[in-house]
Amino acid sequence: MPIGETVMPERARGYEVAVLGAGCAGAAVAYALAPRRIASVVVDAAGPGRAFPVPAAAPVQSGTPADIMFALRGAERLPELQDAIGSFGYRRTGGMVVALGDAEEELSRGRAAEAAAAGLPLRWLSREETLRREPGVTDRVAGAVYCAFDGVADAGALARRLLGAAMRFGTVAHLDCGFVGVTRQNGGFRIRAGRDEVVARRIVVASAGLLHTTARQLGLTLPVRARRRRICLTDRLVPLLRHTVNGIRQEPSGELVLDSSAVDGDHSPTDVRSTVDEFRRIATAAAQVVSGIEHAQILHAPVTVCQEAADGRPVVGRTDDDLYVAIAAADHALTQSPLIGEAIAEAVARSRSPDSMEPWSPARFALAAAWAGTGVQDSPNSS
Amino acid sequence: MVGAGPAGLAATGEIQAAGARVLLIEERPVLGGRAVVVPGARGLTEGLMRGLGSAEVWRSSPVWTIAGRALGVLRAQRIETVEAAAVILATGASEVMMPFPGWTLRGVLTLEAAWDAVRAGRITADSGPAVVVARGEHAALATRLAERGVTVTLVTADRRNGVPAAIPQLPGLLTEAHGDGAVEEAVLDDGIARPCRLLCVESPRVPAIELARLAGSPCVYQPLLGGFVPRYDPTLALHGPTPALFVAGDAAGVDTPRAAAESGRLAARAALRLLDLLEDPDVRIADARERLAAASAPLRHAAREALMLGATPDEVIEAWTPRPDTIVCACEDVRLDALRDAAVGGAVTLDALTAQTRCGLGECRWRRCGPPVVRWLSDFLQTPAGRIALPRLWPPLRPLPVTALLRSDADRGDGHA
Repeated sequence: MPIGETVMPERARGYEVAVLGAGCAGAAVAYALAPRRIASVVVDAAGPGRAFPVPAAAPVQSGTPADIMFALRGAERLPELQDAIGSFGYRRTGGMVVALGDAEEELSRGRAAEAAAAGLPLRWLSREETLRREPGVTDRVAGAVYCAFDGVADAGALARRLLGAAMRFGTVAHLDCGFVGVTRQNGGFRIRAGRDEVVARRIVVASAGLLHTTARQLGLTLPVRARRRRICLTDRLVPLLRHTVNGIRQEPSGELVLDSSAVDGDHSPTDVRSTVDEFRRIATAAAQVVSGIEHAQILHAPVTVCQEAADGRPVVGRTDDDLYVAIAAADHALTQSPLIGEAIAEAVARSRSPDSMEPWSPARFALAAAWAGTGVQDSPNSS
Repeated sequence: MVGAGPAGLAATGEIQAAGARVLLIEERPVLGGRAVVVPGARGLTEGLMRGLGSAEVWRSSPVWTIAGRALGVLRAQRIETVEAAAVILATGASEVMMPFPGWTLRGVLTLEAAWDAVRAGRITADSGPAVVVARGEHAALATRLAERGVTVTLVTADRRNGVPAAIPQLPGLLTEAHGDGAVEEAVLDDGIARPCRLLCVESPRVPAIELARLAGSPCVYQPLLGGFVPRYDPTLALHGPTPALFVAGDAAGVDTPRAAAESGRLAARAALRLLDLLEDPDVRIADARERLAAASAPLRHAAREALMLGATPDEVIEAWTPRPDTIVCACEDVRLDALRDAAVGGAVTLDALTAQTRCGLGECRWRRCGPPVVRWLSDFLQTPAGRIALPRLWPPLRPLPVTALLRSDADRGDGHA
């Protein structure tokens, strides 16, 4: 199934559903729609999974209890998903967020206790237990919050696998088309995908960036922000880490992955000095928690920029006229996408709102007068 | 001045002579670049080194990033930032072996690597037997190996190469190498295996353009100049977002060492003119251009002139298909058939191939496998090589030790003009 294949007769082809965006969320929607026999097409200006193939963190233990619950339910799905569609490099490493010093210890202990009270699988490890489980952590550690469900996976591979599986069911993909545009037409949608055109009765916008660029045509505005991420990959080292520690993890082949993710409109380094400062920050943060990292060398440090909702939460919902939104949070796309895909496919099949996703409904932005409004609150960086 | 090959040395001497402050940064511990291994170019290099005068020179100092006219340099395990009024990139070219079955075995070397081994004294009579695959003057390596007591066989297409008659010469083409970890025999197209422990293969030289690309210069594919080269104007100023950025030497297109030196002079004079430090600028730049033309190989001169005038090179569809089981990416052990499967699935850029096969993800980051993969992809897709999207680049272009990053800002040396 050649990706990027042009399947165009003279007239625009019609589909039941068009999915805009072939990232994890879009591919998950297509994958969940496929067995429901809903003729769907996926369009994206790039993708899927053209990113640098470094396994991204699939963290569970971050954010509010609701975020953690969402990520946890997603993480529970990933192993079986991997069995079904083929490997995307998912492994459960278990994760620690270490505390250094008394103040951090108190905060972390509190966080672990609160999560445990909410029935979440987070717990506090004492200094001794932390060091016993993870000898690679610095001995200055005061303890750590531990979660067994944190893991890593290759997000690009997940998107490709999901889409490949959907295409075996007959889903059509127009990828790498460089440009995606949408207009409303006769109660449906007409979608330009590069040189191709398709029409669809319903539409799922599964990319914050595409939602942003098509906001005017769709009459739908979502405040978005750009999340910039630099992933540093070291040379191959002797085994240092078993777990993901403060986001730092070691590949089976020995490379350490140091990840720094930031929401920044104004902080992309364009000069050498701030690039140096950024690398210094990353190295210093890593050296504070992992001993033995001093001997590493950073070989690659690709940067990705992607858009997410301005509050950093997933956006999942439906408007009155069969327009669906399925957007994951940038740092949690791996764990959130399978659930988002399921919920949206279910909602599309029944033409109703995905009720299970109520807390993530786009309506929350209506209060900020942005949903279906006019003003764009935050202009994103180009990706 | 980045790079201390003939171009960098000549440019530095030129700037020094004009009385401007210049810093010469070289990645390797020795000055002279590739010219120190090219037979007959050593005299040139030694002459140029005398012209350096009191110029400040940083050796063993890889440049790992560039933004505008500022460079990030790794020097003696420290991170330095350097800003200059003008920057000349003379990063040279490197020999890139075209993969064949067995090329990743230990003991299979490019001529450049073999010369390095000779110069470092690592070649003794026990290093052999050796098979050298080279044409013309490059066959001189065979003579040098024989002088070190190594039993040598020369595989060459032309007989007039000045190699002593005592060294056996064979016509033919190398098809594969066998061995378990290290090379044990080389097989030629006549099917007969020659035992060897060293297999030195002359390979195409490819301009090192990463710094120019990171600086934002557009590149074009010109096989006569060795592959992708950055776009530049008649004074070797780079096209792109930053003024006062120049390219010189083999980085602007592979040519003779003498032509590299002359292009270094041209870039230096152009930079000096921009900074108002050159007397009679037009005359002296015209003079440098003439000398560059005289020192160039004729076809390369024509190709470079066309590029300078802004012509787009002819679109070339390369023809190169190795055996499917050939390893293409030595760092990650990626075979050609894996690339082919990915390309059939739609991965038709180098980045997409990396995402799907890990090709190019190793320490060399496409430096070794990039040129062959571009050629193969061009052939496989029947697409002009120049239309294949090159991989995106991010700093660091060279490995960045964490220890260097952990040193405090206080002991950082800054501010070289």
